[in-house]
Amino acid sequence: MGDHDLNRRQFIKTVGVASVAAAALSVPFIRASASDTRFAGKTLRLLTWSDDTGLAALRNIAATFEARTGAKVIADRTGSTSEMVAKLKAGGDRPQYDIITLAGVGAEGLAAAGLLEKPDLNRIPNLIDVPEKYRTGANGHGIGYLLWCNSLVYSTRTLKQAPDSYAALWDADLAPNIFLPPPNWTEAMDLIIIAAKLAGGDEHNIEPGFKKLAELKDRVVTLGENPNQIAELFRTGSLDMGGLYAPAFFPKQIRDPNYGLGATFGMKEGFYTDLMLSVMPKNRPGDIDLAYAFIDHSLDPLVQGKMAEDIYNGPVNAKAIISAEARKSPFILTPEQIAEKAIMHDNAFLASVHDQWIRRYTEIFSS
Amino acid sequence: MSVLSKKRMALLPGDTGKFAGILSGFILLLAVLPILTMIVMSFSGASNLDFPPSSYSLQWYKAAWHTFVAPDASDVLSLGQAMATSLLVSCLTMIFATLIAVPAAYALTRCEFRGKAVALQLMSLPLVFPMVVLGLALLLVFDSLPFHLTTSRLVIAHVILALPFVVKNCTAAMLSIGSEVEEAARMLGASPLRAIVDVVVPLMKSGILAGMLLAFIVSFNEFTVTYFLYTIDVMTVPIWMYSRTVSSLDPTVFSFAVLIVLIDFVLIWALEKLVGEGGVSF
Amino acid sequence: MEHQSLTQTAGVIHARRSHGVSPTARAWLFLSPSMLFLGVLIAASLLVLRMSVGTKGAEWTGFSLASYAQLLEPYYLKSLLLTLRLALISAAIAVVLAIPVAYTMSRLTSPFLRRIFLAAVLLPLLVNLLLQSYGWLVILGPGGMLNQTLMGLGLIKRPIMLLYNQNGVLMGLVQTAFPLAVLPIASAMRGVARTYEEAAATLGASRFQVFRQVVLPMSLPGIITGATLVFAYNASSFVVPLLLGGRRVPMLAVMVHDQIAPLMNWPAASAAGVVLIVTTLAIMTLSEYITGRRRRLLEASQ
Repeated sequence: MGDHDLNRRQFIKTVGVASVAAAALSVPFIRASASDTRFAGKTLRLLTWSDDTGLAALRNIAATFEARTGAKVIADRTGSTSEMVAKLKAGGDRPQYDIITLAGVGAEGLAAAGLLEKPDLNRIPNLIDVPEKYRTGANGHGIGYLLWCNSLVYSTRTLKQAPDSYAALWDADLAPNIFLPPPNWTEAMDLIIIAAKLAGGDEHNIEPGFKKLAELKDRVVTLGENPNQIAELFRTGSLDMGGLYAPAFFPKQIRDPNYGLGATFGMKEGFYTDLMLSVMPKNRPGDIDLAYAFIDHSLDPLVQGKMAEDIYNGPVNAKAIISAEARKSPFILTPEQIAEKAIMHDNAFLASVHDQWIRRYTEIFSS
Repeated sequence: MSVLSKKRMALLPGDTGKFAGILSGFILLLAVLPILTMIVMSFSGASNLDFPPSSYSLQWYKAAWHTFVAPDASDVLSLGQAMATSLLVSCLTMIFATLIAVPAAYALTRCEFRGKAVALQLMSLPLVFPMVVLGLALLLVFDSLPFHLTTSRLVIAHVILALPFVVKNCTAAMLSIGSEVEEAARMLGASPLRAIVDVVVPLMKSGILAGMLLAFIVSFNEFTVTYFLYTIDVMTVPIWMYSRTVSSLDPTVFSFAVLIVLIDFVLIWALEKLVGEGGVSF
Repeated sequence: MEHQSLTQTAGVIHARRSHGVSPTARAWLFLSPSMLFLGVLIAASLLVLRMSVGTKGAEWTGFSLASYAQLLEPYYLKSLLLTLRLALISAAIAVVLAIPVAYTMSRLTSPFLRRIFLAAVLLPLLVNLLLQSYGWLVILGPGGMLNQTLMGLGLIKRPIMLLYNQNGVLMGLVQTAFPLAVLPIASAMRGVARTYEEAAATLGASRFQVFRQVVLPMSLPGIITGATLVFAYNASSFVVPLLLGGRRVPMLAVMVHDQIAPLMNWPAASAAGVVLIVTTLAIMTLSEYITGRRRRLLEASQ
């Protein structure tokens, strides 16, 4: 079996070289520079999301990185943050990945288990343009690379204009059928806090929030575990509104008028964001300089702008280059909008209440 | 009741009982309805999941074929590779599961021994283990070993999961032969082992082959446990499918799914052909 | 008791024949290769057991029964009851539907039809559930074909919710576990020799009477096995409640999953897992006992 595995790696490398050539041809916006050839032939193993965000990361970050450096990025695109973390924690001191991109909560868990290496910020020059609060997360163990921005999603057929407050979710006449995030997602935690605030409480006085959420029970069609099902329910007119949910989950469907999908960040209460991090596990299999180069590349202003345009997520780089055309889109966030309205939740605090809140939320919406 | 039964009786002429036949046809149609829907949608000419599709075309098959032959940079681990891994894992699972299940089935049918009840319970343990817990537990077991396993840990896990099915089919085959044959062979001077290898095993060939195919089918389609055990270099088809469908969906996955359904269908066809009227044992 | 002494005598005879090797040793020798693999499973089970009495963050060193105590809280108790209830109902429905299908399968003479039937029985269990869930959405969703037809006929005003509740989950459970019910029942029915049926028929029994009074009772062990398999399989079902329950049907395996990720509370997940395993094993043992007893009774009567 061992022999077989070796051959397999060899094979991947061979395929890799071929696809670097292909990538170099197919990526117009980053010119392959002949000067930076330190990493040619080296391999970086990346674990990223299974959704369109992961795909976009491959397209905009990994492919351009390959083109620029000649290194090979092997990507596993099977994760959702929580499963990734469980697998990594079980894998312990034998990680198979050089870089993992995941949500703040997950990084927090891995850092607490002592599985992450603290990166040296001086080796990531692009961090200069990243505002202080988005630079690192998980107690310095993760480098921020995009802001996961949660919107209110609505049907453009039932709602003539975008809702301007979260209170719209509670308006049965406006939106009879709604969906909410599933209990195990951080979005659900944010929603609980929003409900508490609307009911006069806050995250430390959460009880009113649960009472307020319970009012929604009869109108909730589903707790949207699967974004495609959600998009499909909107297309068939079975849903009118929902959230918190990132438009990044359905970038294709939002562009397609058949779905009648709209998303807004324009709530007067602000919008909730989650800092997505790149982390480096201890005892990584690959080259350390390569890993740093990759993280730095993910913060490149061009790359950041492309990612924001592609999947409607916020760039962390304040100098992210977003095209004039893209700036017109209501879904594409600019660094200025983020500076003004983004709310970041406190992962450490959420970790302390996570278990209880998941239970309450599950109980409230059990059919 | 008697009126009802008379009515039904009238509906049950012929050999198989037409009423039962029609009823079961209907039940099975309902069971495969989502799969049929999926197959129809794979021929859709539209780009969404509209059903029935407004137009029909082969566009998704063409797109699927394209990703199959020319993996682009964003999909380094192509379906072709996943397919190769899957076939390798399934074949190894099939071989190992059969090799260990035949002697086990022999012991369970021909011997009365202390601890038989325990052995029987152990054999059905894989069926009742919650898959998520099993996946995590196996991952922890494999990671505590001093050496690295990649493909082989998938095979070990799959053998465990397939074992109950293979043992069941071999047991059924062995029961149907009866112990006279073996005794006759031994009376003619064959050693006990020879009697088994030369006489019993050939006679239960179709049962063994059915078990082998079932092991292949179980392994080829296994997802939950594999999800915990796969590594970045060793990924099977269900994992690949999952990574393509879990939160982003392009209709090409329907055409891939149709391909997989087709493979399964052929396997089941072969399975039925092997066991014939004897039927698959569970 | 009597049964045990019988088997022991048989064992002694056997032992003498095989040159003094104890039958137990011989049997376990034959079983040893499978036990090697099952050893991994046993190691995994022990690991789960150990973790279930550990504490979060100190899974291997801590000792606490808190995870089990936690399972007695209404939240988990309700979920356990819901899980057992859905598994039980799904087993009952699956068996009722499986009986005609299995009967037809066991009596089909055309190989072509037999193959089609087997494929139709097995495929729902094998095909990616995520993709099947899109199929269900298209058929049964609030904007799906069924609702549109019913509304078009004026039978209903508002779409009826067939998914994202317990009904949807129940349907999915029955559909995916169906082969586990059909195959053992079909095996059992094949085992009921046609001569019995013919004999009953010559005595003037109608086909339905033959079915009810001969075939059905004689295949009861298969029916019980089928029901048990469906129950065991569905009690730990995870994907179905996730995809067809819209996350609103908190079956135990879903909660186990939540405890593994994102909560990383492996002791809690393990404890719930242990409860699931023990419950299903107990029910399987019970069914084994019942079918075994019945088989012995049948044998004794012959």
